[in-house]
Amino acid sequence: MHPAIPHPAVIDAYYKDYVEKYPGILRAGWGFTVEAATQGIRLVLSGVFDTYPRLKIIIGHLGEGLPFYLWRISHGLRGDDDGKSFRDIFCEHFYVTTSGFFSDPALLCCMMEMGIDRILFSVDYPFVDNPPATKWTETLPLCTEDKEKLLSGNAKRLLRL
Amino acid sequence: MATKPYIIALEEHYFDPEVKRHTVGQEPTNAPRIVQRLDDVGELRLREMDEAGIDMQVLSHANPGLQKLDAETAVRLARGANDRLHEAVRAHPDRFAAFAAIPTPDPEAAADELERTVTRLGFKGALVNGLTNGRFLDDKRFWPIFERAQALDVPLYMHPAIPHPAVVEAYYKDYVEQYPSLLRAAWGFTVETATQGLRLVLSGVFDTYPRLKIILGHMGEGLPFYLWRISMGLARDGRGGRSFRDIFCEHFYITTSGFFSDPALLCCMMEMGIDRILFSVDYPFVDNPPGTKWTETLPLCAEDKEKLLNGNAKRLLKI
Repeated sequence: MHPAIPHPAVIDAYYKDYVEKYPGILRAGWGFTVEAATQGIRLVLSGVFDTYPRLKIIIGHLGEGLPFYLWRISHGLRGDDDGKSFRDIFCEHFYVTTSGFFSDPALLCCMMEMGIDRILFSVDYPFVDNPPATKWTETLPLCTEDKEKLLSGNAKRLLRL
Repeated sequence: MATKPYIIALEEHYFDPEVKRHTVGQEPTNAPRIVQRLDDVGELRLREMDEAGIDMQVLSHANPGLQKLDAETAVRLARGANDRLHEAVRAHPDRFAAFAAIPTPDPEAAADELERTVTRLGFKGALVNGLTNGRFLDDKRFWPIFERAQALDVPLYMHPAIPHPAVVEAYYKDYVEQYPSLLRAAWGFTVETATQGLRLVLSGVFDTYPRLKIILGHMGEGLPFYLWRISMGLARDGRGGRSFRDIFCEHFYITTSGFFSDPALLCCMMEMGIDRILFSVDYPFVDNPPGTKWTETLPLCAEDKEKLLNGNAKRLLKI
């Protein structure tokens, strides 16, 4: 599930005032993130994973931040949900990639919340150049096995390459 | 036996009876258990602080507060509400401190009320609940409030409220009936308040008021996680100047309210440093004991835990 220019009503309410000076606010700067994360949450709430229990979803840009929020979203929904927690559904069906988000703290947060098996390297080429991305992976504080998973192993398995 | 740490919590809400009368239909909850605690700034609240080991609460008015009222009503209610809050603090000055409810629908009056409460009543700053009649606080008309906050050297706590109706319609409406919390703590609050934080950075308000301090609850509504990507995404606009990251990390503080997560906290520590992170609960929407219990097992050294639990708050709020 990849972002696109957000819903016009949301642009009008949230971003319009800054679009001229900061066009990135509609896209990678913020607008993409909010809408794509909202799409991820809605998928979980929709019950689609009850109906299709082997369905797999990939979200880029380190899951648009959803792994960071797992505790708060799950805690917020407790009482509204009547089965599996948001956290469980998310961690059983979603994979995230590192596209356009070469951040150690964010990656480590995702690893703690989801496990390395569900995190895949990506760049977001050509919106992002390749060299910064691969250079970033050289200094990641990961063991060799985990780095192999991140860089190729998880993708080979998920996409049957 | 280890001594119990001194714990300050600073996103702890209550409801003023007069403000409540004027915001009927906009209550944050009808759950009797929570309403009972919002109405109490005395015995019940203190008992529940004691049970969890919370030494001090900095009290603030729960959403929607004064932010969705007409200007005249907001101004009229503010003074009485803050005076009554002052009485509650005076009854237990070693247990309570206060953030003012400021009438943002009248920005000049809001700045004046901030000054009155800080200089005359000993308040520690102000807490603003979401949009002011549909407007984000970075709008230029609200800048007198930031000027005054800088002059007084007090922080402003940007807190959520029910999101803008157009966003509810576009993003959340389909799920509100089955998942009402989607509008609030589960997601709607987060998106709008993070957007408020981001807009403040873009507005240039920190260039104009370089000593301005802003507090965001709920682990900074996630902004610390996104720092790399937001900075990258906005840098592409080629504007030069300070990065989003630098401005955010120089002016924002975050609290742990309603978000007792080790991975999220550690991410925030890596991005912002422990000096800018403060413990809070979000009482009574969140119970005290899970909050303090969480802090007992945090993978922090003793010094950092002290900073989180009281040291940063003492410094920031001059307690």
